Amino acid sequence: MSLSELKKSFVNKRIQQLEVSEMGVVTSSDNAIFKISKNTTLSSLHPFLETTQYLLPSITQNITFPCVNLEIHSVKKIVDIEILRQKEQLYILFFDFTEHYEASHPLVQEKNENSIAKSKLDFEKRLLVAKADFKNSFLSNLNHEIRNPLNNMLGFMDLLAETKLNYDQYETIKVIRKTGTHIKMLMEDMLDISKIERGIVEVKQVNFYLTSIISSLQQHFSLKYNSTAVELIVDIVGKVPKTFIGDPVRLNQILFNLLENAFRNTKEGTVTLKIFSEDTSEKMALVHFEVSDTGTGIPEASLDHVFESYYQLKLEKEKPIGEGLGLKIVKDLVDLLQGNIQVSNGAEHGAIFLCSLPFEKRKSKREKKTIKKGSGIYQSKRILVVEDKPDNQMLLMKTFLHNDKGYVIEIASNAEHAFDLLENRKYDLIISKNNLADEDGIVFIEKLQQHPEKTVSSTPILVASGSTMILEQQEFLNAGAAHFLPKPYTKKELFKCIEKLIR
Amino acid sequence: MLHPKKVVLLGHFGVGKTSLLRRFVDEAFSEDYLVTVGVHVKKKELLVDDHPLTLIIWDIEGNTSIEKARDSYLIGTHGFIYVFDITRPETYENINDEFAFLGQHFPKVPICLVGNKADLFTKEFTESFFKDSPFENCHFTSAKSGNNVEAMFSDIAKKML
Repeated sequence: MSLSELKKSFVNKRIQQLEVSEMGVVTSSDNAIFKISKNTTLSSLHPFLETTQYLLPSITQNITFPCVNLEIHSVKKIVDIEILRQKEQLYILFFDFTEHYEASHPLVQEKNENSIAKSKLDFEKRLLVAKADFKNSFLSNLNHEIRNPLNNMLGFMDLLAETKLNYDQYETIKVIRKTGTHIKMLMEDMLDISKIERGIVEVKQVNFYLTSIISSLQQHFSLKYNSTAVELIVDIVGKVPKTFIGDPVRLNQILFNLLENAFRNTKEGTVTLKIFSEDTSEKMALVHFEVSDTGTGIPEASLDHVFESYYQLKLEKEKPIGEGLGLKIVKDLVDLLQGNIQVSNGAEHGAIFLCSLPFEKRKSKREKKTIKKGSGIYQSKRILVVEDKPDNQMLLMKTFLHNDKGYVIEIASNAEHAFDLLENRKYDLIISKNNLADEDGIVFIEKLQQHPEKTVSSTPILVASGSTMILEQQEFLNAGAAHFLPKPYTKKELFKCIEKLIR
Repeated sequence: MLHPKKVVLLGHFGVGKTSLLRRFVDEAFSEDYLVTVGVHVKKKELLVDDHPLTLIIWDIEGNTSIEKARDSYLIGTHGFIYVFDITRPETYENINDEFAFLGQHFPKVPICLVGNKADLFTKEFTESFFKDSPFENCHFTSAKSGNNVEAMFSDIAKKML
């Protein structure tokens, strides 16, 4: 067979030509692909051709329909179809590309399946984020609701502990205080997780002394676990710089939680904090903190789950609530500081947590010692507190009663009352809350700031509230408040804050 | 007897165009996703307000945009059914642009908007989630259960009469 005959044979098998009338009646067909008899109407062959039949009178130009799945008299083909008008004649050509289209089918299938799987993953991710946002917002609001009464409870407990009590009463108070403090810690832990997950925790970049953090932790844990058979060992290996630039508060929180976890899981022996560092560049160092203990260790199957919320509770139900959050916070904070944390079991006993954090190095500078100014003699300072709730008023009065700082408080039950008192007397500080009985806290602050009397407009304002929403706090500060103190706070924290504001 | 009406199913790939057509014409459904290459055409006769009508439905391969569809497939269309998957936002995020395109190129051709896979969400959630424009008159169908499929095809048939 010659080359031209071969080509003709190939083309003949794959191309079918039909001649049709304007009404869609077949006048001739070479039947190369489908057997189509003369005088057959297109509409009787296949629904695709039925629609085409009604188009024929309007066709003035050639049209191509690529990749049409046709089944005519049980013959299935995937064809490209061309409709040609040549003078008065209409022709339909079928080009059989079945093999070609079938070969491409698996590729398109795979591409589409991957794309759908990806979009489903994206959607599930969005759902998870929405659920996490809801959870965090719920926790934040719940936290707010609990903080106010908790603040009162802890405050009255402090006052009660300062009264004359017999031994049994004192011991009972100690237990209640411990429980209250535990709830406070739990609320703070929940809030921390919620803040980290919502991405509203700011990482600070400030100079800090690593040695100060370590010695403070050493002092705390040695005192706290003084009566147990567990000793804290701090081992600084090699040359570790004393000062860095980073977030000391978060570093302290990470190490505190890791050490607390180690002490809780160790009945006797040692808890060791080993510190070593390596320079990763001229400016940066990777500091490794290894916390190991001589406790029972962690079951192998649980090693991958220890950083999940409440995982420890699932292990040991007798443990008090709140212990399942510390390691979750550690993991979240380490991620936030772009570090890494791993957990394993020791060769003989206990668990080992290896936490590695990058910090910017800083040359140590000796600070000049300064002597604080002041004669040490306190003058009385007048504070106006705006509070409408009787319980809160009583707590404040008792908190300030017999204080050795010279603070004298006067209580206004609402904004109107406060302005009456401000007309007659000058105050060193105004303590307000977020919502007053007769006015919004922000509006109250703005009115104070715009007051015509300079003695009023220049008085510092402290806002104490159960709200922990950064935005809300910022709103108060923007309105003119000098400071925001979140509840629950201790008497010491309150006085420290006041001292700063009316210095 | 009216001429058959050509209906084209439009929408992204994997939204269930072929499944809707199979459910409507063959009363069948398969969980397996089998990609449509090119165009499959099926036919169904139905009664619309007591008038017999033949629908010739073109199930064309899915595209992220109508502009990417092969031009010739859309010639002579009497009605469009635009299908999206209610669980995949990317299949309905550009509906306004898609409708604008159809309005510009096929100003007299009715369009039916269909949110398929409605069995995956509760009715209440779907209705509240898709309550605003451009979803007000959207049909929510399930090719899997057959829910609302017949009604949706009847609706586009009525619009074409």
